Amino acid sequence: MAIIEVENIAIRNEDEYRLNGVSLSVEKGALLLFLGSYESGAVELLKSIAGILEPDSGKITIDGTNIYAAKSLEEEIYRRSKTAFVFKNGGLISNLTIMQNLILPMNILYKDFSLAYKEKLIYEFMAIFNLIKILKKRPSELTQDERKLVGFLRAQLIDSPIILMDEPTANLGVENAELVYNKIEQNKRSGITQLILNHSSENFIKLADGVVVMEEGRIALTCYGDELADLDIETLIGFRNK
Amino acid sequence: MVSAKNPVLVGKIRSITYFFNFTIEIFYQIIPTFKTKNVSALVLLRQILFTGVEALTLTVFAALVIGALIIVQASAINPNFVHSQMLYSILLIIITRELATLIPALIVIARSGTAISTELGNMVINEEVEAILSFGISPISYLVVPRVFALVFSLLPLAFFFNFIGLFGAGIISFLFYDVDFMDFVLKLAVELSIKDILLTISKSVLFGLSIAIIACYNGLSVQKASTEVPQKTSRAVVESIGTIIFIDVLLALLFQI
Repeated sequence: MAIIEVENIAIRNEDEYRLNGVSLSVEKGALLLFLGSYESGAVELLKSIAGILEPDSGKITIDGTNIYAAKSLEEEIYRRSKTAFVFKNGGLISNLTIMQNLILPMNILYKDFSLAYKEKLIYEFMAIFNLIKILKKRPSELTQDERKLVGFLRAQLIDSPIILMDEPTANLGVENAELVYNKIEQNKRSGITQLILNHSSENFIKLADGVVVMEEGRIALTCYGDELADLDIETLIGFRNK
Repeated sequence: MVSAKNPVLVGKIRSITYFFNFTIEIFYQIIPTFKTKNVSALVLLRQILFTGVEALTLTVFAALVIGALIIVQASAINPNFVHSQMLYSILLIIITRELATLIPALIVIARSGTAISTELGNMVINEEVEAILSFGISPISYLVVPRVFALVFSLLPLAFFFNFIGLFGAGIISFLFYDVDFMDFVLKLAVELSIKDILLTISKSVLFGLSIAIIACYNGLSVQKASTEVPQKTSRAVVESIGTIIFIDVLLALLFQI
């Protein structure tokens, strides 16, 4: 059953198309790996699905509802709770502490949870990554690794059925990259749908149910299931570096 | 007729349209901001602290000095000025009707307008605005509306403080150096002060606060990708804010004359 349906979306940035006629269907619980250069439109596609970048035309539905047609604030928040986004550099709010950064989305999406419960949840998550000591710090006081990890954890905390990630392991140290990889693997086992844009395709290809290669705002190649076994990594890297 | 082939003109029209839509969206997001007050209240309080409370010292200092200087300069031209009835009308025209709103507005532009534009610009670059959007929070509701309210709520008391301290400074100098009875000064000033003066101060403060906040937020959020755009947008916000408050000042002065 498709959880995400992207129908012929286009995004124009002044006179050029960032996305042009992209259609995609993602099954529930699937892990899709996206490959493409900065100009390929892969980031824009993921951000569109996350509700961050509204397409100029076309339609994106999640669980059968158009994510850009919310009629009220409550409906909008409910729809956004279906997706979480991991930003390349963490996307942490610089004038908030790490604890405030992690609580912010929960304050919106889970208003009924008590503060104590939210904090308990945050402590549990942060303990996995050994990051409790940084909770009172601000993003500028953290290392790049720590910022990325907090950004990654924030997306896990929301408990969304769909997580979209923009290079979750890029520039991370080996140990931290492994922690992220393990969490993604665990998410897959839990049935969370994950869309990952990552240049280290060699790693994630083992987990992926499908690969989507993007070029010049269009989908250039898609491979699913058994086709992946025959896929030549070098060919993909060639696509990616174009 | 507007030619669609003129890119500069088309760009200008597009920019004005964006600004107009941005302003409408701010008013549209006021109710959602109150619904999500558990996250936006902190932003509002911080901004009031920075814009209103922390600007108070400079505003009081400027008001005191300007009030005193008006008396000193006017007396240098005409030594009998402080003893004439004209003193009170002139003080109210210069301080209450003009400087009490203009000087705090300029202080707010220099401190808060630049800070807002720079902060929001950097937030765009660091993907913080997109992160806020991904939680289902409108950046207008979380980032802009609290700042607009904070600037309006801060500028109004700052204008009244400036007014009070400016007139007080003028009274003290008149009393200390020109032998004017202080109580007599206060009473004559109170008689001369009209409802129109107070209304003008309120309406100017509200409109100045609104325009400074909207212009600063608009310029900050219109940063696209490069950090080099941030100082450019900030400088643009300052120039546009000063131009706008002068325009509003002239417009309201004319309106209140009718």
